[in-house]
Amino acid sequence: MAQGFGIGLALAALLSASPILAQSPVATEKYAVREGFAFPHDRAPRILVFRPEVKVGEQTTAGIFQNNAEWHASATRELGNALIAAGSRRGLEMVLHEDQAANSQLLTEHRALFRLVVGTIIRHKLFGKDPLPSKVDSFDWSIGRGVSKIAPEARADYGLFLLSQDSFESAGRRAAKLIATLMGNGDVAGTHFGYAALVDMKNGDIVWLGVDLKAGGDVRTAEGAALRVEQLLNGFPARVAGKADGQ
Amino acid sequence: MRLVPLAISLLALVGASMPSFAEWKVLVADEGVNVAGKYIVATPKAGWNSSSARPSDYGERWTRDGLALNELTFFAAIPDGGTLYHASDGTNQTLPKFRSTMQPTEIVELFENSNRILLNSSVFSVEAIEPAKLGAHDGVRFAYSYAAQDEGLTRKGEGVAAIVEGKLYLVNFIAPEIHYFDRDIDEVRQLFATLQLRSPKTSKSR
Repeated sequence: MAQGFGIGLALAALLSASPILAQSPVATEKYAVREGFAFPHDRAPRILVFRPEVKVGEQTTAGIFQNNAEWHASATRELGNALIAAGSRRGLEMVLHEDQAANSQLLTEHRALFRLVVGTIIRHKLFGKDPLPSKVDSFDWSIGRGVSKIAPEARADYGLFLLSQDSFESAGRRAAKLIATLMGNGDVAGTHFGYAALVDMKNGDIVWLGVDLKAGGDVRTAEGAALRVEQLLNGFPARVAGKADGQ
Repeated sequence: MRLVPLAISLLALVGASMPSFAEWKVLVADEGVNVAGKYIVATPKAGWNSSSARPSDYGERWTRDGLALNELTFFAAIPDGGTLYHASDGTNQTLPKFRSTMQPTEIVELFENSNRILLNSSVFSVEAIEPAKLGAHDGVRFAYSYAAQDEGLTRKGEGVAAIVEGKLYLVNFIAPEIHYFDRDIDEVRQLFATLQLRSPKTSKSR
C-alpha cells in the first residue's frame, strides 16, 4: 500500500514538472472512448443522468477553498438541466435520476469508486506521465456490474456522471494577485475543472470519458453551465455515427 | 460554512493513495518472472504491470488497472530488523520491524500496524488468519479490509506470509471491495499458490 502525496506532486503528475515540457503547451482537455463502442442504431438510447457532483466556492486570499451553499445549489441545478438539454439535442432519451433511500448507499459507494477510477484514468491514460503499458492501446476501465442495481426501474442503457469543481477568487485574493503581479510574481488563478463519463448500466464499463482540467463557463448560471457541459462533452459519441473514435 | 484545503479536490481527482511517479513495465503472461530481487518467481496472467517505484528495498509492486484499483505487492527476504515499507514522509511514527522469531499472528500484526501508519487510518480490520503455504514453506494467510480517509469506499485485501531461513516473505493483494477485489481474487490466489521462493543463500545478487 502506497503513501499519499502532496498537492505539488499531484499537479506534477498531472501536468508534468518537466522543464522541457513546461515550455510547450500542455493539453488540459482530453477524452477517451471505449474501443468499438457505438450507440444502438435502431432506437434512442436511454441515459440516466445522475445528479452532478459539484464543489463550488470562493478561494480566499490565503488560497483556502470556502464552500458556498447558494452557488452549490444553483450550479447543481443548472448543470443537471444543461446535461438533459445537451443529451436531448443529440437525440438521446435523457432521464434525471432521483436519489432514493433504498439505493443511496449503493450509489454513494459507486460514486466513490467512480472517482477513484477516473483519477486512475487521468493519471495513467489521459494526462499523467506514467502510462500503464498494458493499457496503452485500450480504454477498458469499469466500475462493475453493481451499477445495474442502483436504479433498475429506470431501465437505462447508460448512466451519465458529471463532476465539477470551481473556486472563484475572492475580492481580497484578486487584490493580492494584482499586487503580486505588479511586484513581478505570478499567481495561480481560480481553479475550474471537471469531467463527465458515460457508463454502461449493465456492466459498469466506462464507455466514454471527457476531462477538462481548465474548464470555462460560470457553472452558477444557466448559460455558463451549458458552456461547461458542452466543453466536457467534447468527444461524446454521436448516436448513429457507427463506431466512435477513440482518444 | 466549511473551509476545505484546495489540495483535497486535486488529490481526489488523481487518487491519493499512489506514489507520485513510476515507470511501468508490462509483464508477459504465463511466463515465470523474477520478483522482488529475484527471490520470488511468479507466473502472472495477462494485463499486469510492474512498477519501478518500490515500496521498500525488499519489495515490488504490480497493478493491472492502476494502484488505486488493484495492487499486488511482493516482499522477499526481509532480514531481522527490516521494515515492510520505506519510512513515510508524512509521519514521524516508526514503522514496526520484523523479527525472525515472530509467530504467524505477529507477522500479521506487523503487516497491519505498518499499514495503519502508512494509511494514517484506524479503520483497518483483520478478518481471518489461517495456516497456509507460501511456496513449499509453512506460513499464514490473512484477510483484511480498511477504509482510507476521504475516499468513501472500502478496500479488501488478502496476503500470505512465511519466514524462510530467518527472513520474511510476504505477498499481498488489495483492491476496492466493489468489483475489483472479487474480479481478480481467484486469479491472485492461483498466482500465490504457484509462487516459488528462493533463498538469498542460493540466489545471486539482488
